Amino acid sequence: MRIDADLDLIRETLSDERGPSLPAIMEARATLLEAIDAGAGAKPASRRRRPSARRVGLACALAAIAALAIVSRLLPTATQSAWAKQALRRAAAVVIPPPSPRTILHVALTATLSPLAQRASHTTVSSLSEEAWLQQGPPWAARTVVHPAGGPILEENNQAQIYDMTGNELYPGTRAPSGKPRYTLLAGAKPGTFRLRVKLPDGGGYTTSTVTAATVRSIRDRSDQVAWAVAWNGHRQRILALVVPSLRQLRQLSAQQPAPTSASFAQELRALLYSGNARVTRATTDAGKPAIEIASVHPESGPRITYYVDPKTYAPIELDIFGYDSPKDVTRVHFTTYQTLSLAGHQRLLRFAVPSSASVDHTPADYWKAAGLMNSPL
Amino acid sequence: MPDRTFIARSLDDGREFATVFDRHYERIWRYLNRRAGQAVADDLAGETFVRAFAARAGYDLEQRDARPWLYGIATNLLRERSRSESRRLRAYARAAESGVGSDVAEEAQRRVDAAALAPAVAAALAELTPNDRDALLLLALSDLDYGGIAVATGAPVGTVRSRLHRARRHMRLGLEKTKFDLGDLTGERSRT
Repeated sequence: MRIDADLDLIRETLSDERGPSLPAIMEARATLLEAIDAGAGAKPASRRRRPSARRVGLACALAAIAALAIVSRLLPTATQSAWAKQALRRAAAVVIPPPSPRTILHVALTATLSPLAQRASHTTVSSLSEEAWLQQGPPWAARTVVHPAGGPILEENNQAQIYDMTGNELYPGTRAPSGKPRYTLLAGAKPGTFRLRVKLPDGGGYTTSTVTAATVRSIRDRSDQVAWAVAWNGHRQRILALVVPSLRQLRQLSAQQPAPTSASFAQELRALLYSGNARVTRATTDAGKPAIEIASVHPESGPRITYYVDPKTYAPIELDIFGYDSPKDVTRVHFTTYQTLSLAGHQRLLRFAVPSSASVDHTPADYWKAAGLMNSPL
Repeated sequence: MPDRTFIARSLDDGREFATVFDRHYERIWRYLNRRAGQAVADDLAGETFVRAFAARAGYDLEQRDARPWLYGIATNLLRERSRSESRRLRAYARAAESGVGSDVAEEAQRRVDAAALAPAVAAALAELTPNDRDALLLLALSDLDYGGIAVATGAPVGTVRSRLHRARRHMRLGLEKTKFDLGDLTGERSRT
């Protein structure tokens, strides 16, 4: 018998290459954050004693790292060079027009996804090019064209429709129901638990899930909200009611991760610099253009990112998104266009024009397959 | 930065623990999914991190990597639901043998490349003691070595070795009883 044949056999028997679904990840993360928030005021009961000098040294080193992180947050410019301070002052001087529904952000980019990023987003696409036109206010009209390497050219609007330009095929997806779910909170079976009872749309009955008292508190204080989502588990599509961070929470998160798909990117990056969660590291060039390099420092959420931005406008030139497991695991997003257009003269760019000759495919599996190819790292 | 840095920091700022979640949630979910199915994985993978967060003060900061600790918590949670895992393994065995057209049978068929061997493997696994099964499945399904399994199960490495030896011998005997030869799967002949 080969030495590991039995292990191979077990792996074969219990083989399943699926990963967790996005709603499952979101729900688990939200539950953990609730537990963290609930325990924020209470110190853990006891720390394990570490009698040896080595352990004491380790604890001191870790404390020093933590202290350094805190100091660097309090004094964002204290450890930076004079040049970096100057760059920071220049950042403050950048005039950034506020986002408005009368403007469209036009971005074009190429992205190379790291193996880790591919696994995380369950895609086999390793590189893609993308062009998007995004209205910067309600009703947030958007049109995105993505060309994954070796795949079809796909176009998507914010009505959950995907058009395969190469195959001339339209995939109408299922939109999450509009409005907020109607729900009732009932006492749970165990003390400290509640039942979240949600009325499904179109007379679909009710769905009930158990939530913790902390979740109920965050729903009531509006840091979380109950929202509809459409989920696909590889076989079946269904509508779910999820407890997700509220817009206010998402804004707080975006303070940690400036979004290059928003015209507020420069503003958010500036705020990140001033919070001490990013620092200017050097002046450089990117494809012959001057750029400044800004590295995020200990992000509280999401991966570490190095931003290369235009020194005058703080428009993004390149983002290097690092994986957790290895500094070599980098997803690289290079911007070839980043400009703001007026809605008045460019409304046609938001139009999702599908030729009448296009065939329409209502199969959910085909829609989700196409959606999987549109996995942008942003 | 190693996991222990974030765990140490989380003693003062709980939000630091989110990094441990971001790094390891997927692999813990996959381990639970392979052992007990998607529904249990959805349920217990998140619970693993909530329990880990609550127990972080007891984390041994000499361990750079939190994976053995997290696999251990996930395994203990599974143990609390061991009835469901055993039931599921037996259901695999029955369904794959009978070819019943149920969801369980379909899932069993989908999972099993060496379809003919699946019932015997599932049945043999279901018959192992919980300690032996945990050790064997950690070795087969996680990326832990013997030392990591020892940390995960809270047993000395020597005990892990003997549990693995016993479990693997039991598996082999169980498969031989059903006239299967592990060599058939690997293209090699059994020495016995």
